Amino acid sequence: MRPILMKGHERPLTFLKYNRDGDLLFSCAKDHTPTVWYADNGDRLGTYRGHNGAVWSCDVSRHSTRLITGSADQTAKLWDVKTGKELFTFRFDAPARSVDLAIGDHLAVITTDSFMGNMPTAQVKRIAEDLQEQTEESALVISGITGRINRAVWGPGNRTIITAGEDATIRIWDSETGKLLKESDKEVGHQKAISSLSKSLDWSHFLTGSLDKSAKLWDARTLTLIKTYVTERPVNAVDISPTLDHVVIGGGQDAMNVTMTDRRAGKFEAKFFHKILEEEIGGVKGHFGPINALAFNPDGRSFSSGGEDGYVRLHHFDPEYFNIKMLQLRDLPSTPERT
Amino acid sequence: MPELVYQKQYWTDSYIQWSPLGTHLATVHRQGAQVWGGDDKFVRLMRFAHPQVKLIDFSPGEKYLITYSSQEPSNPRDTHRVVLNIFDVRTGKVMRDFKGSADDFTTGGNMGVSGVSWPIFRWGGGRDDKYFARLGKNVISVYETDTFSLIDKKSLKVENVVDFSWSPTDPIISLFVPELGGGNQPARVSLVQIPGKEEIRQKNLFSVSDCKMYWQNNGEYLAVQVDRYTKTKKSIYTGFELFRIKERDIPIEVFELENKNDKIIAFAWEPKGHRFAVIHGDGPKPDISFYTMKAVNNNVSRVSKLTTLKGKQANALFWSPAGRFIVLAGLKGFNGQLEFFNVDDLETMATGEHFMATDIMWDPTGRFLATAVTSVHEMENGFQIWSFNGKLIYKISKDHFYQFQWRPRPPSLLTPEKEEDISKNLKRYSKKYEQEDLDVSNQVGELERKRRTQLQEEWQGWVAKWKQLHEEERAYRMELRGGEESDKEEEAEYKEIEAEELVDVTEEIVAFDLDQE
Repeated sequence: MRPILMKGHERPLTFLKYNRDGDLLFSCAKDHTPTVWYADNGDRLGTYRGHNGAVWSCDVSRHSTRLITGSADQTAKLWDVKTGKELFTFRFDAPARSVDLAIGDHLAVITTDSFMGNMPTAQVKRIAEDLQEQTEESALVISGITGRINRAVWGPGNRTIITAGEDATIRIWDSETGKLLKESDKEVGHQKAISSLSKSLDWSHFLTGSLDKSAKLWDARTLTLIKTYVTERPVNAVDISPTLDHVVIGGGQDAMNVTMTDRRAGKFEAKFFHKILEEEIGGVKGHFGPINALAFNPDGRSFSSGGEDGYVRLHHFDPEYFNIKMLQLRDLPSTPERT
Repeated sequence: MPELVYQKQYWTDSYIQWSPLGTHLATVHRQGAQVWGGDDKFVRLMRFAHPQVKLIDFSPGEKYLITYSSQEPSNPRDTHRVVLNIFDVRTGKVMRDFKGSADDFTTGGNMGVSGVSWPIFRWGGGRDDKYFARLGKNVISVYETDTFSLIDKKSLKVENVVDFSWSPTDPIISLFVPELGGGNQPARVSLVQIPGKEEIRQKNLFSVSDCKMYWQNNGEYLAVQVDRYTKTKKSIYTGFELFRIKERDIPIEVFELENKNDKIIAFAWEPKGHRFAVIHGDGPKPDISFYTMKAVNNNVSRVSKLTTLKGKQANALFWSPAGRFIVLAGLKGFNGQLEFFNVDDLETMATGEHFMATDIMWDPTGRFLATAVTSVHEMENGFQIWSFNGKLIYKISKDHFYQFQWRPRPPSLLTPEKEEDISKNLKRYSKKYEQEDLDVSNQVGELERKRRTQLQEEWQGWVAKWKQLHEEERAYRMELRGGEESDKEEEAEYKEIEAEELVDVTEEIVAFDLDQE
């Protein structure tokens, strides 16, 4: 693993997203400025300036033309990826959190936190190809959830919207009517807040990470629990490998909640599990604080992690990674860092 | 991976303890203690009533169990009320009880050690469970278990005694009396034979500020660590009095580290062996030195240094119970550094780490080491098992992890001669077991393979179903994308990889033409 250290954010990372081609990496942080980097060597391309609050998540269109971001400044913004120009602002009555573009990039689902008496919502907005026609109007508003919605994503074929958050329950909603279709089983589901959610490439299954120190794999259509991965730390970020049967899980205790300072320098790790066997296959250490964001490159040959420490670490897998034989408890091999 | 043998919910109210030979598991409850045992299940064998019991202790031969409770007084200015019961484990009968105020049971003395230290009664004389004793004010009360009363009906009077310690194997007590009268009466260490109470060895010590006693587990050696003030009383230096218990007249050898001002951080005898290890030094990374008691000089045994490891991140020593190997551990501030050291060859076998480890325990045979993070910490609870030479075998996470205890082994049924014979002919014996092990591991391999195949097949079932649904929705997706054709990202990427296979290598000596034109 040749880790590349990318320092550009002044505050903790919140989200990472690769574009479909895998040549760009978008990072969001609490420092108001989403940033885009070259996914191969970690060089910074540019920043998107305009938000006035922490940026919680982002998504990029299929052809890498448009970027959408959700921020604590109560807006979600559309940007031109190449020029960095702010194209449109959706305004809300509460901090915006999760954003996800639908297949075809003509719809986005954006969540808002509870604020000043308003309950959390998940709102569907139409994204017009021609900016002149763009409005702030919501095509659908899903409400009735009491806990904060940390992630809302489109289900297979845009037919459903899947939400997950503080109340540890995953819900599937009809994307046209807003009707609640399914809820995750309380007994087998997470026992504490769900912090993260990541979809498989074909939208057929998805992985959730929770503060209950586990991650779970679900069928996206039936909401059946398929796998559970157990770790020793609260989970903040998860992702599914696009090419191999691996998942990556990262976490650690939030800086605010730590009563004991973790004096191990650089020892927060991203843990890799075998997706089918549910067993740990290795870990990659290096962050100086809890890991808040993880993403595999769509080509499956690298991944990046974003930490509370403000760093993004980009790792290209060694050839050994692709030949991992099961059940060797060890750190994935790493070569000296290049910053 | 470990195999669960037995479990029971709500088995204990506070903690559990194995009996010293592994026969029983004791649990502690509001109404008293219980012991469990049996051949393949854990059946309740006996109950011992003692309301509000807080602590328990077995005698080394497992014949007796001592229970302790301390009741808060109704008037906060009174002292706590202490009750101690000594039960016969087999019959459950109370052989003797002790009641009193907490003051009666605190170890006093002007060394400043106060408060109840458990166990209050210390058993002596090895596994026969013949004697038990406790420290009192100016006395050591020694009881015998024929009548459960004081030997000769009176305690051993030792003016100002502050600490005592039994030999692990023989009925000998070592005790320490500090300096008195501003130096008029020197401090002394004495060895007292029980039941006769004769002083079989003693030594006066001068300018002593503190004293610690360490017995080797076979009762062969006693090390007394003596911290002394320098003449100016401004700093402390340390020396050791080493008693060779099994030699005639119990010779005492005075021993000091090369730098006698070094603070002693830890001291440990090799179990069943003739060596000891010391962690010493003043900086953040102390040194570790190893010594042997068996160097010979002019027909006299002398202590001699084997080696010093400099600048180690260690603050605790864990010898294997079988001797020969030791784990040098850095707990607390060192965050769980482990070094597995071979003391025969004086070399490091492996290093490892168990971040935030709170407990380190060898299994009774010395084959495995367990390191654990208990619920003292909120995260990372669980334990890891290592081989004796430092290879991590597996880890288990357990949230809210409270206690880990290896089950002790019963004493060997073999005579010492037979044990020696087996050691000598180990190769012959081990062949048979190696074959057995191979058979078992093949079996396990088979089971594991079956499980994996089953999981893979189950997964393939999911994938097939998803693929089908995905195909069915393909046209719909195309429409969503305004007619865009492929969802290439969902299909497997077929990559052409050039594999080079080395077929043959031949070397040919070719005539080199120097004339190049």
